[in-house]
Amino acid sequence: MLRRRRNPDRTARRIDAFVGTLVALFMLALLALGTFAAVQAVTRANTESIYDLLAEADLTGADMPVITIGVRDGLPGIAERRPDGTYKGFDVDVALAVAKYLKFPPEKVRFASIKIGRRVEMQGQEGSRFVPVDLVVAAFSITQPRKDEGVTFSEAYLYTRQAVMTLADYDGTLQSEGDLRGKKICTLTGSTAEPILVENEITYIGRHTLNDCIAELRNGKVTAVRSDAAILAGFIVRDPGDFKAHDIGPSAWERWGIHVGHTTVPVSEARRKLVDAALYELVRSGEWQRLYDAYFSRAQPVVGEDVQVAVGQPPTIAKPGFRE
Amino acid sequence: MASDDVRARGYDKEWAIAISPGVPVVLLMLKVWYLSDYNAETTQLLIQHINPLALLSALSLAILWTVPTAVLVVRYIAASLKLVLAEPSRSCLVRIDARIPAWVTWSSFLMALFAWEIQYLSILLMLALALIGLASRHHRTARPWIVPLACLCLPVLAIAAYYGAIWPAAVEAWKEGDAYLCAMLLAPPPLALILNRRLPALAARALFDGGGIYIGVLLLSVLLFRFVQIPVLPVVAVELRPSPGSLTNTALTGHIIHTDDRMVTFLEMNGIVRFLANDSVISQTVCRDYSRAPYSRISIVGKNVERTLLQGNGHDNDRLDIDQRCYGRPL
Repeated sequence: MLRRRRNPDRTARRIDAFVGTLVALFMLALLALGTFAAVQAVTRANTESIYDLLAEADLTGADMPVITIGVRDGLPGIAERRPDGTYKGFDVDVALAVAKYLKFPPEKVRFASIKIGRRVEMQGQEGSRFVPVDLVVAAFSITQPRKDEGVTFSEAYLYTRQAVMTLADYDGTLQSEGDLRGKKICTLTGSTAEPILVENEITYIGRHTLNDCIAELRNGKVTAVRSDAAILAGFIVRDPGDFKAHDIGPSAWERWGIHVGHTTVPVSEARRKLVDAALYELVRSGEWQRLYDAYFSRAQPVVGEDVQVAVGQPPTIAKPGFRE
Repeated sequence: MASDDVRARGYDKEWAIAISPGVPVVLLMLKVWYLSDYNAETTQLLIQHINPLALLSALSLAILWTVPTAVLVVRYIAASLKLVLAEPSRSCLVRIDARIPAWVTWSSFLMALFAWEIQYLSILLMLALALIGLASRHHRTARPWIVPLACLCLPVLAIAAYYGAIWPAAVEAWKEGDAYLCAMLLAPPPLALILNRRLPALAARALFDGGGIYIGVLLLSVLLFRFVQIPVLPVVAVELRPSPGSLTNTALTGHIIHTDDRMVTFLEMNGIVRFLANDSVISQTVCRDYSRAPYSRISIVGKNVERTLLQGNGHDNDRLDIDQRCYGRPL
């Protein structure tokens, strides 16, 4: 029987050719990677800088000696005007951090109180005078109807849900939208709570400020006040023992965002990029967590375990795509 | 006859040597053209006033990293070809390599270490390990034990030490979604374990003949781009008295290109030239130059990955960042 013998030279040549092909492919891949790296290096060096964006967003120049930011007033823990005219709260600190990122030191930041119904058109108030504001940081939930009205929102900087608050001695059960039926509720006119109350056919009265709602609650005209849990928490902490929070079941997230300008205004897109980058930096630096701990972690035990004041994990915000 | 052809080809290329001094001049012209926002009159004004030394120093800074790059790439290709070609001296790159003294190689490593951005030092490590490995293969007949030491033990140890230093930065880059930076920090060094091997002759010749030219063109393109972008004049802001009909001061940001006893010639960031009377200027300050602003904020041992070891840490940025005049806002 003839046995075919393997030619060692031929086998070696085949192995050599195979290895050669592999190495050639490897070197080609290396050249491709080198090209990619060169293109990336050039692209990154050519990416717009924060300075370009500030100019594009009309935040430079003699017309912008200060930045005017609209914040709510009368929301303890969120934004409250103190007797000396300064503001304090989570939103105020977020606004200051955003302004700092936009190269406005605290002394170049001017706050204006903004009513809930004036947030879309960005009209703040200084006393009786209405002033246009550059940004709105005012417990402003991101919703599609508001976007349709022309609001340009930043990424969300706080996640909370709606809850209701009664007087502390209220002994009824409020655990669902159904439990609210037949009772009178107070909420803010133009808030995200309003359409839900309408949809569930719950009797309610609308007020311009939560302090007005609380007055109605104290004098017995309404059973409960409905708003975002993070907002209600501030009142429960301010007047400990007076109020009680109730979880009315899972509702949609209230995602608070910053209104940077009307969608038809050309500078809004550049402002949105900058504010998103500022929020990214707020989270990255750990400042967001510090603010959360200062304003909400401390409030949680007072509010009780039924209602979560706000989500304690920092929001996920994409890394800015420009040079800083 | 053949040698005549070779000689003739050599003579044909002498024009390249003759025009080579003109290349920096063309680069400098391009730089001024870019600085003046592609405006002919502004270009002429800049040429009239800008110190040629400033431009030359910008050119030197721009090409500093290319010298070691060219030397190390040529050395690597030549070292690979010498291992596989029967007559290595027929390769142009091998002949160039033969003329490069050893101290130039070591100096190039040192220069690259300080002149390359930190994010690209991974490529330097790869080249260094590959070159050491290839050098050991050239000497394997005299010292056969050196090959496993230089081609396996040394790279593995060096790569492990390197990973130890850059791992946190690579993880941070990954978390930030910067896959390019993560790959740039991690991928090149292990490739040295392949690059330090003897390549099959055909593959080596085919790739290095075309690849060498390709790498050259690529490096030249990057060099040209980076040079045009490199800043020549410092960014400054000048605060001006109110113009007629206005009550508030103004501030301009840009470059001062000339000052005399009556006027300041000022080039704004958008390329507009202004002539400012000296008595209208209230104050001026140096600003942060955002054309140098890094894309990534990741640092390795306290230094941004887009800086070189030669560059400072940019501590001044914090101070310059808050000066309102730098954003066109009067104090």
